[in-house]
Amino acid sequence: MRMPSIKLNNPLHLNPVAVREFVSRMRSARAYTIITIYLAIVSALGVLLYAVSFLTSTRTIGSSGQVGTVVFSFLVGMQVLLVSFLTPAFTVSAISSEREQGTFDLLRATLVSPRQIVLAKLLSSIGFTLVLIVATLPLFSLAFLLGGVEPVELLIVLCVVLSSALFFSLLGLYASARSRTTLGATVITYAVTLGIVVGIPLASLIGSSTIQLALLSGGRSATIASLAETLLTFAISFSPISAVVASQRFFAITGDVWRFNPAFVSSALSVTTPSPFLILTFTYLIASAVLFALCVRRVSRSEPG
Amino acid sequence: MIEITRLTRTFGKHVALDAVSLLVPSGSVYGLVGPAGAGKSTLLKILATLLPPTSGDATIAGSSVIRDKLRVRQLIGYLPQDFGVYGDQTCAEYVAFFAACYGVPRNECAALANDLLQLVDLHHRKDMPTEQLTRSMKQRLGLARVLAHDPQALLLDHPTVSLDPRARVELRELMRELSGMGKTILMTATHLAELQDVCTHAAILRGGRIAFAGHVEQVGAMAPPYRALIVRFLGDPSLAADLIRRGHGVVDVQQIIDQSVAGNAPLAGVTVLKEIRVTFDGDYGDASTLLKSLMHSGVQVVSFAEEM
Repeated sequence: MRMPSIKLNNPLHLNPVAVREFVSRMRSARAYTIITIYLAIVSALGVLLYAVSFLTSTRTIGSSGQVGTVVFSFLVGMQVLLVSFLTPAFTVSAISSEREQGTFDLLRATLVSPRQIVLAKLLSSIGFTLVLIVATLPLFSLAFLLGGVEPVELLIVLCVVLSSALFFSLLGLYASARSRTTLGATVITYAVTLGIVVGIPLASLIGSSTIQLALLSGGRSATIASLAETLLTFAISFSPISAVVASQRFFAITGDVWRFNPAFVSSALSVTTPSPFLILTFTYLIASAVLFALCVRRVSRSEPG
Repeated sequence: MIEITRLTRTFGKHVALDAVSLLVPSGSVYGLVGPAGAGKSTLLKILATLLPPTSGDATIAGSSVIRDKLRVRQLIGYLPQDFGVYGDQTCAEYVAFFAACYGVPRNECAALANDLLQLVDLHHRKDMPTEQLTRSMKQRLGLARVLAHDPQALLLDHPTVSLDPRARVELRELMRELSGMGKTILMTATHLAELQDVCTHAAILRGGRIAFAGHVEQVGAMAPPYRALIVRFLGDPSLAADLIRRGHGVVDVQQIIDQSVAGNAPLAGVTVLKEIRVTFDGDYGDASTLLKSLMHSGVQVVSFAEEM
């Protein structure tokens, strides 16, 4: 029998778990089905939106720019929703399924470290998300062709999409490492994701409506209302949907990409903060680093929970 | 080769291993025997560096399972009792993947997997998806996997459990072959009889403590002979199993499921006979008391006899 030669810490030795994850993911029909369905939906809705915008807009010089803006905003919204809800699905079973199928201890008994295991699972998920994002890029070119979109807006989108992909992947991975079952991990991950993506903008909307109503009825002091509005300004920065919409709208009005200074309804005062997409990117990167460390710690342990 | 020194492991208040000390000589085939819950799997998990001991230490070829985890992982091959496979991989891919996880260069993995599958007599199934393998084939695939990095010691947790008699004989042959290759093998079983003809040494583990240890013949002579009682009855199997477990001299209880009716609802009007296999080291008085307690509790005992 041939005797293997062990080479530890060889940087050229590819992480075998990452290789397996990539091969396994791209080998399944599921991967191609997801890409096909996603592209079909986004393309169909994009073309429909383009047709409706084109037919309803006034045919003047610059009107194609308005259509371009509408198409671009729609694509951005779809991209952010995709990243927020689809990426955790790629990681939510990554560790728990290893436990369920009885391969977790086999993997842990090898020379592959917990950090390498987590990194492999993460890279495979992010890699597939990037494939989906790249596949939709030709649709973005349509928006640029129509005009009305500044290249810097793409920077806003890229920052939000990439940091969200990282954060939501790690959220799913952490839930997977914590839970005994994939079902438990899925419930936790989607409850938190829904809270962040939909709950925060919804709460902000309800909050700002409440402030307006309170001011109209004279029930609240302007100082408290200003404070509440300041908090809401920060809050919208933590949801990718509201962060990208607020950053783009403010850029469209003022032309300032980096700062955010919305007019308050409660008073003439206002606060200047970094643009919501900057706060989101920074926060999500920090949170991702923390989740990664927690994941490694969980994988190092024998039992979940 | 494997030196275990006062190893203790507790889970809350439960003491799984209580100051266990054991010496497994280099090149030996060592059987670790004991009833379910005796601490055998916990001991193997600690040796495989997957579980830290509460106190004590163990070394494998001089490397501590606490301080030199990576070195120990290079030295051992660990086969858990219920290990899994990746259903989307073929047998050859499965072995090659684990070889790569042990640092075998990628260009050597495929050839190595072929050699190992040949060794465990699975080379004709190398392109078969792992999920299609029988239990016995999976066990042999598991052995090929643990040999991928040419470890010096093999830790095999219940390697013969739920195998049919023919597969058990084949597996024992394989153990002898591996022993002939100079591997030190530490494996677990519920009964000494399962391992007696392949082991050179054995230890009896009970309640987390070593009761006897030494050459397999000595241990065989010292250990009380376990008998198996087969109880056939009508009614609630969980009630019967609970009552039996409480009986004096009962070492282990296994509910036997008839494969022909497993998973199917019983036909109307057909009475399904239940069967329990009891590993027993009590005397005739204990057996009689056990039978009496079953009958007094309403279990309809049809037969109660020693396994032949």
